[in-house]
Amino acid sequence: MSRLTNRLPEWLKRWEWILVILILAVFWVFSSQQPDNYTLSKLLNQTRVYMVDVGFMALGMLTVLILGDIDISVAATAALSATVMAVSYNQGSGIPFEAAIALMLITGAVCGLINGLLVTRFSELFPMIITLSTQTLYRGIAYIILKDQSSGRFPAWFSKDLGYGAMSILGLDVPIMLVCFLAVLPAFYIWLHKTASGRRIFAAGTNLTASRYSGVRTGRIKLAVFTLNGLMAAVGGFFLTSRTGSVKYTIATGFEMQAIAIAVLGGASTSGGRGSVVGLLLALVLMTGLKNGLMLVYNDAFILNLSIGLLLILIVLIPNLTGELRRRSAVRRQRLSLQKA
Amino acid sequence: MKRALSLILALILMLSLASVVMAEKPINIGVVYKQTGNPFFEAGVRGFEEAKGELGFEFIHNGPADSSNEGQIQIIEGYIQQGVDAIAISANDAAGVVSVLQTAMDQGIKVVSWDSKVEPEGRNLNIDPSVAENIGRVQVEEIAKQIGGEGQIAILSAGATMDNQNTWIKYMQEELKKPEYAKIELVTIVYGDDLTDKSIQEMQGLINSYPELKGVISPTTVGIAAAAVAIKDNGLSGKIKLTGLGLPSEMAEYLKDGTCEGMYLWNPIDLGYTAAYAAVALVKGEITGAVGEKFAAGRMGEKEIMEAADGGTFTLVGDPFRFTPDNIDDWKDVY
Repeated sequence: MSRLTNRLPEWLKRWEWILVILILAVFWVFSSQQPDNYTLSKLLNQTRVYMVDVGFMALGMLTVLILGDIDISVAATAALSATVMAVSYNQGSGIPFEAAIALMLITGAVCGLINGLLVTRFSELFPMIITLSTQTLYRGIAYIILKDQSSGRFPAWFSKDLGYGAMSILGLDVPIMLVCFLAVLPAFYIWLHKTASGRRIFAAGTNLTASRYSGVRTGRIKLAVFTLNGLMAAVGGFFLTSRTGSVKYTIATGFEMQAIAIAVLGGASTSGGRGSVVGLLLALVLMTGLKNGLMLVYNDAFILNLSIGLLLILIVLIPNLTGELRRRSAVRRQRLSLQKA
Repeated sequence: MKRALSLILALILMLSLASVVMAEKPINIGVVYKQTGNPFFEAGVRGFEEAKGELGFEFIHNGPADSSNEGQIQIIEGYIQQGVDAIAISANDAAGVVSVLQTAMDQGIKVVSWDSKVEPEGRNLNIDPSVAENIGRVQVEEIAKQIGGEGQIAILSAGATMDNQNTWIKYMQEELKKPEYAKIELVTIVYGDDLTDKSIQEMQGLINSYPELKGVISPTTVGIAAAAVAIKDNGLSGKIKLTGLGLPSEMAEYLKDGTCEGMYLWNPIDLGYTAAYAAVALVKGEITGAVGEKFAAGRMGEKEIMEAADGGTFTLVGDPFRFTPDNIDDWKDVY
């Protein structure tokens, strides 16, 4: 095993390939079990459920994780933004829907900005604690606004065409919201991996102090990244709302953990400096395939959560285990060479 | 192995259906309920099982763990993917599943809502357990009798977006306007979201906030059981009266120790059973869900489809039944 990992060329050891192999394995297993239902065209429809809204939130989360921070208020941010949109639109009798959407995005960005300000001003507090508090704060405000009621009755283009509409690409019906998500991905890829400002985030995440001393304005970067994360949470909430057609203060409960899980599964490190947009997309595909397959075979939410938990533990273990194996074989080789001498 | 087994099962099913002229793939119904682990819906599923034995269809059932709208959408999308013929749902948010159910109906899937309705645009037919006005009124009459016609009462409901409870509460409020209830004050309505822990918390909150509270109506099986726990834990059995809609199996203990002197419910097995017959009739094209149509619902007899107040259509299952400490033993093992 150790010899095998040593012999593999460097590019094959990349995390993304492990994800690709897992994806192929998952698809092979479930399509042989459910040949009629687990097909490409039917899976494309499932991306609405498992991929798009969480995907947007995970993109924002990825940038925060690369910085070495974490934001667990994203689901609450999405809920508050969606609440603001629904209430200001007020089932058609409030402000125009486009204005309500603008207000929603602004709300998300402001929530993110508040997180950013708190994280940069109170650097002695962990971002996890700060965003844990703002999480309850944001959802609390959503509750005060809506109480236990729900609000909806959005225009048809939103809750019907965007939420459930599809466009024909290469003979396949691709959900419109998936097209929107896939259109945003390249922009994130280029920005994070190919531009100077994107590299600065990686630099700040790898070593904050060193970056600061080399002239990177880390405070400003953090503020921008948290604001962007809030905005992305609102965008995720926007697409989620298009599917539900109504907003309650509990909307998107638990999505922050899904977003973190996707980003980490995609190769991001919670200690900062690592993460990839390609990995994130692969992680989303893997999760969609796995969750949908489990749902089809077992039709049970508990088994679904349990399996996802097991997978995440495994995923975190694999790099550690291979690292450990590599270390051990190196030690053995050293011993051997010493014995020979 | 699994495939061989299902093949044999399918073969047996085909043989048993030999009398049917067209030996087609059996009708498949996807049942969605408000949440998993709720005994009320477990009893409802038994109704589907009973109907399945008589009609020979297939069904799968599931509900979210957290009473969420998103969870129900996820389940419905899965059912659409599997190509079910009908969906029978008790909705957590009457408006929140309309779009996804319309997508289902566009693909020829029939939609029946049972227990808690879906807005008319998202369903073919609603199965109401009983006349909503009746359900609301009997609970007010019951609590008035228990507290002696005067004092503060509160309502512990399920989710504020759950249409069945909302409708009953609306009728309770109307009933309370009558002169004979002038001395009864409805102080508040709280929502436990049909989650046991949240319902207990809300009940505890009522006990703390309203020291003069005389009675509680909880028109949900999860809520009334949670309220009974909270009242008993506080040593207030008999001091704060409790009624509402409760499952005999869960409430037997509290009916016997005096925490609850009387409560109502219809038979959830009948409800599921009728919903199953309606779904099959819709799939077979015997009915379309239009006003005036009739369908045979096995042991429940013939059901007529009527116009609902929300603009859609519905049919009724039966009347609420009063459970008391005297008759609870006959029912506590049934559901």
